[in-house]
Amino acid sequence: MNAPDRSDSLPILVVGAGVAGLTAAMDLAGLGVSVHLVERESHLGGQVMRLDKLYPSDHCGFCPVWTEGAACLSHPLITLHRNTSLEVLANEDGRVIALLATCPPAVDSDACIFCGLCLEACEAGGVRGTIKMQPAGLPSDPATQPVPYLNPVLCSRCGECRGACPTGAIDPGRLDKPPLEVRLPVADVIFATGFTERNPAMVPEYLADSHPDIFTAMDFEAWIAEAGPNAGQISRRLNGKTPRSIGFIQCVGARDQRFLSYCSSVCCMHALKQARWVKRRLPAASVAIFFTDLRAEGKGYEAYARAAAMEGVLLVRSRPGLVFRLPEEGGGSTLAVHYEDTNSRQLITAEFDIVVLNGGLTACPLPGQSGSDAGTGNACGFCQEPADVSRSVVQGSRAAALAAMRLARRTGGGP
Amino acid sequence: MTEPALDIRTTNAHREIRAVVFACRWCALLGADRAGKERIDLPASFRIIPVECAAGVEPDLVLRALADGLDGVAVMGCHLGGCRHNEANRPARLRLLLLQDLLEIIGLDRRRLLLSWGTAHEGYQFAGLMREFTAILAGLPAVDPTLVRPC
Amino acid sequence: MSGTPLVLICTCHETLSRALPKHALRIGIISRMPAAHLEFVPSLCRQEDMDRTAGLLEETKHSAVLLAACSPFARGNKVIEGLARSNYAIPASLVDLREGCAWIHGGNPEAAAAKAVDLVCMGLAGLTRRERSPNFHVQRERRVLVVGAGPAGLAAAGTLAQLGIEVILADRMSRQGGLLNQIGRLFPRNTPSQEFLAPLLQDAAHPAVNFLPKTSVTRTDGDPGRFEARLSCDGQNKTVIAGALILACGAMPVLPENHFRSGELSGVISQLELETRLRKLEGQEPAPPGITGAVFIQCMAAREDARPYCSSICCPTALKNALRLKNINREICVTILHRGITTPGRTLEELYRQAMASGIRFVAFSPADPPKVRGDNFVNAVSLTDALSARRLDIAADLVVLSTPLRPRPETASLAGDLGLRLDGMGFVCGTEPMQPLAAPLHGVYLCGAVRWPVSAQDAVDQGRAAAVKAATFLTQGGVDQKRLFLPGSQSGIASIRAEACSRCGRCVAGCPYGACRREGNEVISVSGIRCRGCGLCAAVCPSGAARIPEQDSASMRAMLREIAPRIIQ
Repeated sequence: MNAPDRSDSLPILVVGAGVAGLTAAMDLAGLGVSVHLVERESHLGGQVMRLDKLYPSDHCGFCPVWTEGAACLSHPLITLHRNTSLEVLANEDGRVIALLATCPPAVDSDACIFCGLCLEACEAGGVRGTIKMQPAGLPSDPATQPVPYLNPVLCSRCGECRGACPTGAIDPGRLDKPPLEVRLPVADVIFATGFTERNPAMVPEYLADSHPDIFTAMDFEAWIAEAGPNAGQISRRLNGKTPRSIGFIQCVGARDQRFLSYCSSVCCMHALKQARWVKRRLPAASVAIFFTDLRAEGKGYEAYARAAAMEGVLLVRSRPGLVFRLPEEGGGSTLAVHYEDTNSRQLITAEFDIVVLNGGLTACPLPGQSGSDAGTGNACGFCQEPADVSRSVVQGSRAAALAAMRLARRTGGGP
Repeated sequence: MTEPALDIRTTNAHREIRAVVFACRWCALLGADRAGKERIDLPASFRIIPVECAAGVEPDLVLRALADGLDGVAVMGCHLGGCRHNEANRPARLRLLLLQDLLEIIGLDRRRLLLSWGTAHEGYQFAGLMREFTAILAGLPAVDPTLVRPC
Repeated sequence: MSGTPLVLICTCHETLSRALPKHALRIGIISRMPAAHLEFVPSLCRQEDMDRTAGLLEETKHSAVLLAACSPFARGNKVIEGLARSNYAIPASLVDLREGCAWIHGGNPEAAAAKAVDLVCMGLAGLTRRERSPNFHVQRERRVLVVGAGPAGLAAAGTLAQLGIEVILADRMSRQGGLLNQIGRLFPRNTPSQEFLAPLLQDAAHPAVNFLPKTSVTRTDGDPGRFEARLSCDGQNKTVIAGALILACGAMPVLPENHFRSGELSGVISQLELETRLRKLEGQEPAPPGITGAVFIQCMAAREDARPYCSSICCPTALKNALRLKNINREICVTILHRGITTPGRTLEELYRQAMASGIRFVAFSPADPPKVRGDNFVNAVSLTDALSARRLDIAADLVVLSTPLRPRPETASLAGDLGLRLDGMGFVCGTEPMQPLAAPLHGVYLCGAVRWPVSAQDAVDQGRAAAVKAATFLTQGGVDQKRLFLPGSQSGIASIRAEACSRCGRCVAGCPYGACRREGNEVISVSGIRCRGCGLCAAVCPSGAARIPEQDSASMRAMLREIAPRIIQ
């Protein structure tokens, strides 16, 4: 008995190909339901793909996510729309129509064979630095094809690359084309749009923009990634030296009436992961996490936090009041964190070579809907409620379950 | 009787080093692939044989490789705790550590068997390992065929 | 194997030929493998190339094809899979001449070319000796056994039924609902648990669900797609066949054993006991006199060396119950003594703020200096050191509520053991983190709810639905050729054991990560093709070489080694 062919019925739209969206799409496809998976970026796996390590296993985030992504790419029932956003969800005569807009990138990752001829042609005839062979900002993405990245600002549109490309994968002409629009009637919609990191510069006391060694969590991840710009070495961005001390500040712009009142739920564990990683690489460094409540309620998380403490990570219950620059001997500057240690009730100013600011993860907005009751879409993953990877994938499966159940009720049968 | 540990500088630099790398199709091969994508320049001393899991590498095969005259064997699997085959790499690691001891007992340098349990990102780490492995093997003489003989 | 092998070397639109000159490769390969038929092609991975390749193979009837191209993670896997799907699929192998050779040895072209020749010859040597595991058809029973009818199990059963799959829902108790039957209201919105349960009970009353009360699972045997579970009810045993299993057995609360003098003083109770009291109090108008001061103590018997985990739901539970007390009588002074309030996310943080706004007091204490409950016969106060101010506080209380963790049920261990499921250090069952937290390494076995980790009622329901959909996809794939179910790019096969060489030592049985190698009495060890995932561990530990995987046979491995060995011993 094969999976029934549902090609005659309308597909389900899944918006976002992060871990929640990938899971929802794969589960639905596994039940024999057609899925159109829409992803704004060119890569699959969302934020998790950008993580060099996951907690509590300390393994690369990439490998398991890549397996799901690869399965998604080759599944006959899943149509993937990359570099695509959902513009509008409209209700027309009781049918739900999704309006998708695809900005075909300059480099078509399906056609690209990564030969590098475009880079050679560009260096010879175009503007140097326009084409880079590795995409920016994705340390954790070796196998979802590091297609050449074409910088639209530097590109002179000379077309040398297009001439040199044997497969027609690269075309700077696409940079200036208007997006391709697709009208897709769908049976149902699942939103899995994930989250973004807010700029911590909005929190004035932490002076986030003022020093190169103040990082956000994702910035720091990319900076120290095994496959990152420093090949896994940890150094100060200011001067390339080995940091003597690293401080993590939690709840930056979160659980704060001025900004976001809620808790992003993943930052405590994320800081613990990075702190332990730093300690493994630099046993002599002093590593401290300034937390408000250390949230380690998930499976194995408390044990992970205890292990961090045993390994010498200082867990300080405190919400620091100020981060500022301290001039250093020999030029340059280091950072200082001024805080109250709530256990000893002392006011302390401690020096740190690197400060990582955690918090303020906001859900990506759900794309606009028009018309009344446009579909019975449901949201899953971080965009619905802050969640770690395990929770997000469970929510993805749950969304698939509910969508499949609705479909079954409408068609009067199961898959 | 163990092999004298030769200083690398006094080695016959013209001897071509040959090693085989059994790399699991998952994390280990991805790490090697990453080194390729980064176009890191490496000595051409090793040949990779992909395997489904490091747990499937037979100790007998390692000994045969050395008996056939290969200078070294590397077995690379996933990070401990990250094995796709339900932690099969843990007993594999123990078995191969024992094999390293066995090599020493029969008079071969234990560093001829390299074990690595890395993760998929680690292209630079793979590259570093291969360079180091080649350098170590270059400092050792060719495997004495009388030490390892199939029966 | 008759017929010559075909070697197709992709030049990647001539980019590879610069690093690996064609003539050098041709000379090197033909001199070592004169029987091979060698062809250079500019591309292998476009659809037209793959069609052309398939056509070529069909026409020339080669016995096997070696593809020398880029990395499997680049386009290599795509080409191999494309071939496997085509009508004329013959043994094929891929060698990586790009990421694995040309791109890492750019500084030494001669060595790169020599290595490329080696890789091709190795690939051919392995390919021509490689055998294939037999294909077989898998039938999956379209029925799921759900163990446990709490919120997770009910949601799983209801979801499966809606998806057209038969369910056997077994529970040790006589009624459905699990722990929720002992809880009056649920966080975050104070929903009455019966109201929460009602739609779940209704869905699970579907004709496709067969509910077996007072039934426990004593043993499971069989294979994914056809598990045999022995059920026991009132001393009667029966066996059911199910294609997939979902464990939803839940967890149990730790009960105070004279913690904080709960055994000696009246008025020191657990959260669970509070539920019973609250239900009585909430039903009455006006609120009866009795409680003037209530103190909650968090993290009792949790987050300590003996039980080093946070049970995740005790803080929201305390908040919910504290608010319920306030709702009954705003005058009741409620204080929560904690070691950090755990309310991650948006909804739970809001609950926390709601509690603060209602006048509930929060005092932090340090585990090294826990609160002391005071009173004779009846509790009258709790004294502690406020961890933030270091002041000693005496809080008048006639009710002390202890928040205790959930812990695994004792029977979970044996059920998990039968199915090869791992338990974590605390005894909870593990899935396959991070992307399949509800799936066991063994196909067809899933888990949901507190059996995996303490969860809220809503999360248990969500996990139940998620596990159901996983089980349903597993069963939907029934009848498909087993080989296709392997992950893309995986070319491993199924192990088999040669009867004449098997010494019955049982090392493979002990080592197999999937329980595929099995011993039946004195018989030769057998391998369940359904469970086997081709890791090769059995072949590696077998002392007599009886266990082997045709695709990864040591004979082909040795042939590959001989291609690169400087000295060959005959």
